[in-house]
Amino acid sequence: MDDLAAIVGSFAITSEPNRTSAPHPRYSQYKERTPKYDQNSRRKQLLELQKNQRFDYLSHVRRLTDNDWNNKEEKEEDDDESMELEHKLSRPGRYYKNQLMMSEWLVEVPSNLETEWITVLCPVAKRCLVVTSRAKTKAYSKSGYCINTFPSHLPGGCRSSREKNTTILDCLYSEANQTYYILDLMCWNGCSVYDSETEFRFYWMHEKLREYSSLQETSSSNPFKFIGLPSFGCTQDVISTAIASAAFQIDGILFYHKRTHYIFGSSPLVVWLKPFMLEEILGITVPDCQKVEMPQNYTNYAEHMKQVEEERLKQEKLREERQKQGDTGKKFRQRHGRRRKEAGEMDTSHPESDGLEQSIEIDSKSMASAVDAEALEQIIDIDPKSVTSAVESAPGLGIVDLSVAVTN
Amino acid sequence: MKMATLAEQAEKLLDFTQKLDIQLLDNIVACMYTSDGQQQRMAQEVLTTLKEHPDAWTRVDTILEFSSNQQTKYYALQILENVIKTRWKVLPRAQCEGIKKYIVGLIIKTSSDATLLEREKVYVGKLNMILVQILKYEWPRNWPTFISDIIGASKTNESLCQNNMAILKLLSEEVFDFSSGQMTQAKAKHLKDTMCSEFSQIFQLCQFVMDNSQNAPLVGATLETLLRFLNWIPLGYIFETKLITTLIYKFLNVPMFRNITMKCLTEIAGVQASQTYDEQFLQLFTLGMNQLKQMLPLETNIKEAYQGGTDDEQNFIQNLSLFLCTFLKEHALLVEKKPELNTLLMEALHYLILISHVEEVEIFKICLEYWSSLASELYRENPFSDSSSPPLIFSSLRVQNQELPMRRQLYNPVLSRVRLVMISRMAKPEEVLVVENDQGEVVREFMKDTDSINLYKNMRETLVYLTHLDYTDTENIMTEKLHNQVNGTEWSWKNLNTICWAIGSISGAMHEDDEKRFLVTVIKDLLGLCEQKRGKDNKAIIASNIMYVVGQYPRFLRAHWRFLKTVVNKLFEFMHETHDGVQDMACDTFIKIAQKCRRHFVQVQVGEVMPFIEEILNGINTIICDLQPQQVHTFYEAVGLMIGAQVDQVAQEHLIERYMLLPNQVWDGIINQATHNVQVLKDPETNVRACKALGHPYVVQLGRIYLDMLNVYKVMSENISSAIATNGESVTKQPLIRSMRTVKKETLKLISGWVNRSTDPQMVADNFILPLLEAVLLDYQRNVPAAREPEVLSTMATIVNSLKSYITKDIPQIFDAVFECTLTMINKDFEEYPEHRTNFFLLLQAVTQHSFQALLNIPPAQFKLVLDSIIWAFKHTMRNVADTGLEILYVLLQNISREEGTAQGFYQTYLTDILQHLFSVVTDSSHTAGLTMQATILAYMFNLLEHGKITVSLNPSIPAMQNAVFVQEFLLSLLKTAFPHLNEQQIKIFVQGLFSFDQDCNALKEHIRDFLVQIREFAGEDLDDLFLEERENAIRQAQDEKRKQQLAVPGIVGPHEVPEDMQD
Repeated sequence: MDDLAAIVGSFAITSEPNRTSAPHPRYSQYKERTPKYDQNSRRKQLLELQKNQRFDYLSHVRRLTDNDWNNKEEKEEDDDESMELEHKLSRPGRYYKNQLMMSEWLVEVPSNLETEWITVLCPVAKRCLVVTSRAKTKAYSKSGYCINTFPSHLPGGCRSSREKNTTILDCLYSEANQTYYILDLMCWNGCSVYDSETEFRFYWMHEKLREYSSLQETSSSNPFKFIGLPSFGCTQDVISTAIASAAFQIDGILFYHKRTHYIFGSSPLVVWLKPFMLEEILGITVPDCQKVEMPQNYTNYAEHMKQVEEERLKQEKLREERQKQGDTGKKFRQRHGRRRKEAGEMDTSHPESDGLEQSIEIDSKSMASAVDAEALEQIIDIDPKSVTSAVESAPGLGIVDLSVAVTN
Repeated sequence: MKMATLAEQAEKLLDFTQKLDIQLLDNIVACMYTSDGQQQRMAQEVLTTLKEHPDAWTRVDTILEFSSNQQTKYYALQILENVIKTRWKVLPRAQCEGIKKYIVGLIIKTSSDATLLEREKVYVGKLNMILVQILKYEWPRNWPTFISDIIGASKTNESLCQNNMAILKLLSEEVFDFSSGQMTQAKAKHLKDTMCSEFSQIFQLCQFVMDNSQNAPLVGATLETLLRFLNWIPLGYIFETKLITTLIYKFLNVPMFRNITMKCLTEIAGVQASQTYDEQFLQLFTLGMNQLKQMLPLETNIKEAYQGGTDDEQNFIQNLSLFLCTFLKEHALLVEKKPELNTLLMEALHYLILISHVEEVEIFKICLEYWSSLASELYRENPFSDSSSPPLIFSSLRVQNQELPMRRQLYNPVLSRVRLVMISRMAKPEEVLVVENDQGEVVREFMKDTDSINLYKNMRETLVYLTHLDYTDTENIMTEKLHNQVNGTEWSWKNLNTICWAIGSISGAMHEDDEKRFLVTVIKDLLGLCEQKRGKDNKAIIASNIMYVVGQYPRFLRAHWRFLKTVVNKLFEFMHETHDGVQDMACDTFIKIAQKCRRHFVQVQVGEVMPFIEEILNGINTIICDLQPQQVHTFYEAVGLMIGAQVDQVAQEHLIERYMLLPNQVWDGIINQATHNVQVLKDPETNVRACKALGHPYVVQLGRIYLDMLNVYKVMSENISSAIATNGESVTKQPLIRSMRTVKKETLKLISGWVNRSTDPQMVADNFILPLLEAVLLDYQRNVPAAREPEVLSTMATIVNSLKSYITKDIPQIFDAVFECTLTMINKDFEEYPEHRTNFFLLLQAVTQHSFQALLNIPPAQFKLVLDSIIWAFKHTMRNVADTGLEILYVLLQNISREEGTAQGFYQTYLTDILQHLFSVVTDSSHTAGLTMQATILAYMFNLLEHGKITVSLNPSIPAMQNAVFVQEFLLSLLKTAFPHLNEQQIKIFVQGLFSFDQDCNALKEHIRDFLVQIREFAGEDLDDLFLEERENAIRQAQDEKRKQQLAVPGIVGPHEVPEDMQD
């Protein structure tokens, strides 16, 4: 059963590595298939690729503005593992889907974190793409669904706006605060910065927001506030001060590589951690009030994995005991009744057969092949004599694997 | 044709003193069919006027004779048909004879020549129909020799004979199949009896044709006619003649006749006869099967043959399936008992299996019906599985196979093939429709009752029985099918869906442990498949199927917490997946699981430190952040269901608080802003869903937002009113106003939804009702009609229905505010404001049913208004409104009879009024849908009268004892004035019948139906064929019967009415 749960836990439709919709690999109870390339080398290759490849951002901005995808060659996107590195600069999803730069979990801490990366603290909110066009402002969810249409003081965002050009932002929308927190800026008043580096985009965003101060006030022509999220350097001190002084519930922390352009889909150059993970992965202490989502019996990774393993052993034992007591063994008896009866005497007269059964069971558990509780029961149920002979003919098998299982 | 001339010339047509200008009529008819616009309307008007003219029929013969336009001829025949149907009895006899002779002559003339008959097929068909209409009056009394006439004429000419067959067929249909509601019961019975007694002549003719004729169209027509006869003729004609063998040997293998022959054989196979004809049934089966095997070799691939076949061949397959299914369903037991016929039986089943693979759903449904009945029969006979190793205690008693019932052994090989059919054809279990709602949002709707879902239900049932009969076999087939997906031999999205629907369909049919073992392999196979396939589309389909299967097995999920938790976490992961449809799938599966496993989420599970619901609430913001609003609502409903399962009240309230944290933050934000910006207000849909899921405990949350919400309601209303005041009513269509109205509607929906689920009426009445009435009622009353929400009325109805007597004290306030102003909106006609209309009467119904005391307390003038409204309601042609009206009236009558004090006054004032209005709908054919309820109420009222429950006199001039007589007189004169074309005797018998049948609603209904038939015809002086005497007898019998029953219960009949046996 646990095995089955493990497979279910690890199957997926989109097989992007370290995707944030699944649990962080370190904290997950189930092992994901290891990606072919580690996070660091993918980062390196992606930056390399960025240098060599050009994407026509201007025409892309036009498409987003006019919602016109007609003259686009229909090329199906592939999600094969082999495609991982040929990054998704090619084609965004249909309509407004997959227009945002998404993060991966921060799994491997880059050695140049302090010098080459920038962080942003994210409040609890909904990720969305904001596009102004034809004197209207529209917000689209990650999946491309239009959440809202409203006027705003963004350039091109309402009828009274002086500028008629488009603006595209990457935002976090907080419904409770009626606020769009701006994470990133891709295009401002018709000027595209998709192919600019993070540092510049952030700088540009804050500059522009200073010019347009009315964005931070609500009014009938700007019903939602637009607030730029501040970015910080990546040293322990700076981050922990920022967290301590944060006035809102932090959903998580984004780390941007300074040199990355704005690209579509998930990227190892933007990574994400939940507040409670900071302490262990980066050694940054976090006040308790920001650790709500931490699993309650969690202390640290090693401890956590041990717990997971212990839990599994306990479950196995429990089941085994129950079987011995025979209180849940109705089916068991039904199906194997006859054989049991024959083997019954042996169960009592040869105490060592118990030990043998146990060893076989643990042994089977350490096997990587798909074995579930049912299969286990079948193995246990095999006539001890034949098992004994099998063990004898393959000396050491039972014993060695038993020790492996225990040290695990 | 010019417009002016058209009008002018129409005048000429209607002038019956002039000779009819056929050319002109032809022109107008042509105009009606070919031109358009104004001209066509004019032409139609002229024709209608002419048709309705009482003397129009006198022109028919001229038209038929001289017109060259086929359409004009039909028009003439329509006129004739109309006259026959309604006024036959008032036409002078000579005219009747004239028409009859004319039509008969015309038919003979046209049908005597085979080529002419073929060419004028439609025209002759219409003539035949008219003849049959005439026959319904004339035969047998005025035309006793009709049958022998037609038989005699048939022998003169084959083409004539062919048409006569068609006439007999029509007659059979009119008398036996469609007589209900078209003829009075007595008349129908009389015609049936006559037809049966004269059938031997007809049968001889049929047989003669079948034996001797070489004329194919004639034989075809004869078989068609025979088919209509088969369901009513005396069985001897079928089984004691050589009919069966003739059909099988002579016609079944002739391609031209095989379909009609098959239909006849099916009709025969469906006959339920006592054992007398067992031999003949067996003969039917053996001969039929042997003939079939020659026509359709057993090795035929019927599926392919069907796909490539002509219409005729396809029909044959369908007819064959009908024959086999009908025969086996009725007579399989007979065949089973003869071991020598077992091979033949297997071959018949083999055909059915082959036909079951045909990809035509209608044919499949025919087979399915049989398989379903076979499987359920075998299971009920002996509810043990072949494959179950029996529980230990039975194992010594029951050795496998030997004890297996004979029938099961016989059918086993077939059943396995049926399983394969069910598994490889399983229908789609759910249907989702993407629709746009009132607010312009695209939402998904789950369909409840579609063809496909019904098919699924039937297939599921069959497969479950089949699984009970041998679960190992089901399992093996499914496993193999699944392997074929994995190894690619059968891989396709459609096939994968089908096999997974099949797997999901048998949830619960196996023993729990077997189910577990099976499910583990299934899920592993599917996961392996997902791993193996490339591309998001493939993976998404497989993932959906995995989740579908998992969601179908809640018992398995409940027994394995860690697995359940993993699945749910996986669903949360899918809620971030942007691939088309995955988020919807995740939310739908999540709520499905929540419904079935809710308790497990609020308990602390083994190996956990807290209930899983806590973890969900901790991460709820992250989980839902990529969902669309509709999906968020589903998610909230699911979580609400889980919280609803927490029995500890304190813990539950705590959970609710955390659950509603985010919506409440949003809500508070909105309320704070609302003062300077109403645009941000949105509807409380999340709350509606939460309330739906939580039920009564939602009170904690409702209390928090209640007053704010009502304030919002008021603000919205004021905004809408002022918008209407400045811009007129058209403004209500604007998006902004529409969204404000949505907020109002949703608010009401939330409140009524909760009240409906609440369990403490006292508390609700004390704490929640007063502010609601204040906020809602005045606003409703003061608003312009267009801005009144119909939901106010339905909310009030819900409140009355749930709070019952606790709300009685508030009814006057509610009525004051909504009654008159709504009534003025809907009393102008029967159509405007349909929602208000429906809801208004629902409110009235609720009050009548649950707060009747409140009705008794209102002033008489207002009570009269209420009663008038009820009468108004049942006069509607909108069916739901009329039904509600009748139901209210019935309840009102019952309730009032319990109030001794008020009842008599009520009867005195209103009883005859009510009767009069009731009869106005009873006799109106547009109200026949409500006949059952009308009859029930009438029966109830006549009962009151008959049993002396009405102690005041209904008319000052007569004593109370005579009330029943008075009412009879009253009705008599009422109906006489309403239907002057009816004969007094007819009406008298009808009224008497009303009283006699008041114990038996069905009989009363039929009695009224008969009267409706009579209303349509002018009775004239000739009453013989109304069979009034027979009817009177029947009525007297019913009266006697009733009396006998009453006598059987001591005391029912008063001591003075009891007939004394011995006058000592």
